Amino acid sequence: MMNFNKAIAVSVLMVGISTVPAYAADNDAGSLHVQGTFVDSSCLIAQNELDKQIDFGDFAKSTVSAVAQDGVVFSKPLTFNITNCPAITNSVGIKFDFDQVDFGKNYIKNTGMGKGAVFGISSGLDTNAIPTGSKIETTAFNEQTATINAQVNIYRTAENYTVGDLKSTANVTLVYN
Amino acid sequence: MCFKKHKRPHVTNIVKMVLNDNLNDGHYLCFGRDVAQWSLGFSMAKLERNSMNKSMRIFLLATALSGAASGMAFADDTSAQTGTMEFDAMLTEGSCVLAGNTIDHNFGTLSKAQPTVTTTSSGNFKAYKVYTDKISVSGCPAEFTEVLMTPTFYTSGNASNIVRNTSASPNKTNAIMLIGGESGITNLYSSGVTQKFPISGDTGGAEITLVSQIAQDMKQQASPGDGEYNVTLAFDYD
Repeated sequence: MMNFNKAIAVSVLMVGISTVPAYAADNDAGSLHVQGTFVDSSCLIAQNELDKQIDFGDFAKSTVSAVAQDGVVFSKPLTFNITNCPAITNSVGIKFDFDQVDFGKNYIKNTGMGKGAVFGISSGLDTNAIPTGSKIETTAFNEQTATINAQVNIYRTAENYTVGDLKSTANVTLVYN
Repeated sequence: MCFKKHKRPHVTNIVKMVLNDNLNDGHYLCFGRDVAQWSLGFSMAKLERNSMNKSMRIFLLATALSGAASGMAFADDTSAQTGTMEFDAMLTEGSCVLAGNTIDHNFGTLSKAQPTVTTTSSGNFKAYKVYTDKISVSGCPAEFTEVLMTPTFYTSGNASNIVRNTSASPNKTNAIMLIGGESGITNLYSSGVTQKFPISGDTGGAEITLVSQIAQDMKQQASPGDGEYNVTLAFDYD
């Protein structure tokens, strides 16, 4: 019983130590928290395949109106060549994070002035737009290399057309497990 | 981060269930994430070897399970390689599609003595050669109702509707060119003056007839020499 109480006391003490600083914040205090992981090896991808500017150029309203709502007006491929994956890698993918539209679709918000069409990301196999935070991956490796095929599409939306630029951004991250 | 297997069956079994792995005594199971949490588990394991009682082991188990659950949340090993993709396009009012808008003719050799083929309706000019070309306008957006075509050319004298011979030859003919919209050219096109053509609501396009005449004043005869006549056509839509 005594041992039990001591153990509880130690437990309570540990909890107290870990939580007290959170309530003792002062305007002359600070902290540094560094966290991370080193691994034996990782998949690699050329940085210029992750940083890209893709310009579809000009297109007319009539081109958009010829497509059904949520249909794809134009597509451009996004190809990611991944190398040097550890032999135990099960799958590798590209994760897309972006500011998603707020009208219930998986499209990327447009920061330009144009309306009636927006960008979206899909796999290379179809044009189904993926939601933010999703990844397009493959399990097909050839000597620890893999290719991921995605595409960026321009979709027609239900909005009334407004002439102007379409501009969107997506952050991409190489992921694997 | 590593986890050392506990000898007590109930701890081992639970950890095995969560991690779906076999642990052997004296070995560590290591993960790529949550270093701090699993290190805490390791420290507590050492404490257990020395003097920890059953309640403390419960505390350790809770900590270990917390680490295991947190580790499972990072199933993907994410590399430090990230990037940014920018997508751009420009949605425009649109335009019509032109065909036949680049016209090139070579009239070869004409005799100044040959009979003229027609005259303008004004009767002031006689033509030695007449070309009739069709410019096709199609695919116009529904909001467009007319094509605006503006010819521009070097004029002859003070007449804005006579296309000057701009041949670089030292021996130039005095023949001129006239352009208009129909065979008789009742309305000569002047340089810089926009001509309007309605767009059909049915076809979303228009067909523009452009007539060009290599001609001479009725009172004169064409002089021998080279001739070259250039007109620039600008198209807009309204």
